Amino acid sequence: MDTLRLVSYVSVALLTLPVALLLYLGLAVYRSSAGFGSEVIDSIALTLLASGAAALLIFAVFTPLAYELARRENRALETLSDIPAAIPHPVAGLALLILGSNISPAGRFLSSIGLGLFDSIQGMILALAFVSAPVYIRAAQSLFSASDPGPEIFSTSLGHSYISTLYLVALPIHFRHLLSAVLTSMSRAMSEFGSVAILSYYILGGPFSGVSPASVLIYKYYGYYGPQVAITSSAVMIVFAVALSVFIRIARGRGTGHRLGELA
Amino acid sequence: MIEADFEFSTVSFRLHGLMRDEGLISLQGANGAGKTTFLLSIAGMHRVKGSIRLNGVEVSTLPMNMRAAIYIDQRTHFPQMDVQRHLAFGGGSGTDVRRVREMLGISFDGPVSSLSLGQKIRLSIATAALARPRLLMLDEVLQNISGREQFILNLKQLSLDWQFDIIAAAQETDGIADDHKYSIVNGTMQRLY
Repeated sequence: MDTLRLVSYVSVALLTLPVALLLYLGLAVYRSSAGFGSEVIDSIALTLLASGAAALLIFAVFTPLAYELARRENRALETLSDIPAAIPHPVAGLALLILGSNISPAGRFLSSIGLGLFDSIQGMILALAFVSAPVYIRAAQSLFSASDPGPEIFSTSLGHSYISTLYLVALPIHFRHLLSAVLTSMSRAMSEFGSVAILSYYILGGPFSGVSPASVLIYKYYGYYGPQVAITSSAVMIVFAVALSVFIRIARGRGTGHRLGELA
Repeated sequence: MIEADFEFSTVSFRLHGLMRDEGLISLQGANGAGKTTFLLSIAGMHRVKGSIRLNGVEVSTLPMNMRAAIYIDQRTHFPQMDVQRHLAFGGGSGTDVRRVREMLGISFDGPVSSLSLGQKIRLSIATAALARPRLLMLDEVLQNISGREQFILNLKQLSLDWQFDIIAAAQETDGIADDHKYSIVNGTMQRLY
């Protein structure tokens, strides 16, 4: 085994060992029944649903921005789009809390149509989209930047607008890789704690009434019951997260980059 | 009619785009002479100082999609489409499509990604013609087309019928039935005839 491969395996071990240990302890050693209970399953279902919705929202809203940043340099826009990634996530939660409160016109409007952000699933989706959007924007921007602009030049010179060219040409060509970027942002959303702990500690109303996001629930279990229940419920959550990672890997397909192994 | 008199500069390169002609114009120059920069400037990819008029319309201040100046090189096709959809992307009626197919030898169908390079270029030129441009710019593509002489004659006839001009750029433009010829050396253009 060459040194590069050895270093890579050690690096991956550093990333996976704590998670593997948690899985082992949670599923094989402690196996707390509360950790497998309906509260945990509901919480994971809420987290998956909200993260998926946030990822779709991110795709719909931020794909044009990623394309713009890739094709026409704009450092001011690029810096501004990084803000959610640069601030502590509880601060992002607070910012959305204020935006959705009665002291802001947007909050008064949302409340008037029954779409308040506090302790609601729409607030949770918005928080997840807010903090996860930079992950998608950077991935999609890199993808567009690295791609051949030839088809887009052709489309635009044929008379199609830049936005039409994005949706009619660039998006269909790169759909598979953009889907992978969407799923990456979804997995990022699933792991979010700081902003949802502020904005949607639990959900009031609807099918998820009384349910907390998985990250919040695990934190609550740790505080109320100690580590055993928290470890088991964490292990269950990890199983879902790993399943999503495998799905992302499949969606991404085999990379097209040049590989040293193929030359050796 | 193309009336171009503009300048475009980068840190290491300066182009003086100068052309005033119509019909099929060949533009000859070595690698790095500025052929592609000249064509992309007219297409709207670069912001230039000066004037670019196509059929009497000043286009230098227009966005790329409003110029009707279509740039084609080996990469300008839509790999995710099939031939029929590719042609439809240019526009035109069913009669126009049939005529273009016949004149430019688009006798093939199927996914664009499975076509040969020459077929892709034929398809791109046909799609561009269907968009009824003011100007069609071909950047080092004609040499990849089999039966080039007949193809150029047919394209020229189409350009006369539909009133668009053509610039065909290449390192060597002999064999192109051009009406006018320019050369470009280190960003400076010269009219040969």
